[in-house]
Amino acid sequence: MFAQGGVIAALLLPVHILFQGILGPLGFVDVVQPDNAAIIGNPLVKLYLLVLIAVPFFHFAHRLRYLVVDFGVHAAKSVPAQVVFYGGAVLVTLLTIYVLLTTAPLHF
Amino acid sequence: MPANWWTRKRHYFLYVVREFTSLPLAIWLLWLLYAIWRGQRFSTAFAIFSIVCLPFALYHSWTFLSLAGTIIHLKVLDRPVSSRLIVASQFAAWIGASIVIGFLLVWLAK
Repeated sequence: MFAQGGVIAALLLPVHILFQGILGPLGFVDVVQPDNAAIIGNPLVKLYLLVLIAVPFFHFAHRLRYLVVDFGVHAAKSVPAQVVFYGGAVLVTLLTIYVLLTTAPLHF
Repeated sequence: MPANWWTRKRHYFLYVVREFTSLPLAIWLLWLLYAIWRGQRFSTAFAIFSIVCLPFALYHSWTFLSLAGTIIHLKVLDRPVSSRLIVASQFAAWIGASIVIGFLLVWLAK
């Protein structure tokens, strides 16, 4: 799960940032936008978005926790710190599921 | 250990930058989620933040995919696959995925 998050972030994020973050909003090309209910409502797209958004957070949580440890905060090794960091990733996952289920009704 | 250990060697500094890339990328994904929740078009502020994020994303991809050659050990027909071939396949997968997704993001918008 932790490595998968890294793989997904590595393989998928740059192209999303380039097209949806930069080229689209700045008007170079027309890209899929969040107001496009027909696309966001597609179950495959929702599943893809869940993986794209939620899974990297397990990787991020892992990395940021060890970064905090490396900066001399040994408390970040403790169980409560693990609960905070990995619990945060679980929270983002639940939040993503909630957002995907409550926006743009499913249609096939 | 002094708090500035990571500024003393270029190698340490790059390690910290690599780990830190998680933070802007996490914020970018949350912003994306927020935009989906609101159902709004991407804003100019999002574009500015994306311009900041793209180098971090590329650096994360570059370092992560390069590491695969060290981490993954494969054997085909009892012979180990060279780490250079594994790294090359990772980068090929990255380029392939980027082309397909980039095409879909534009094509689906029509």
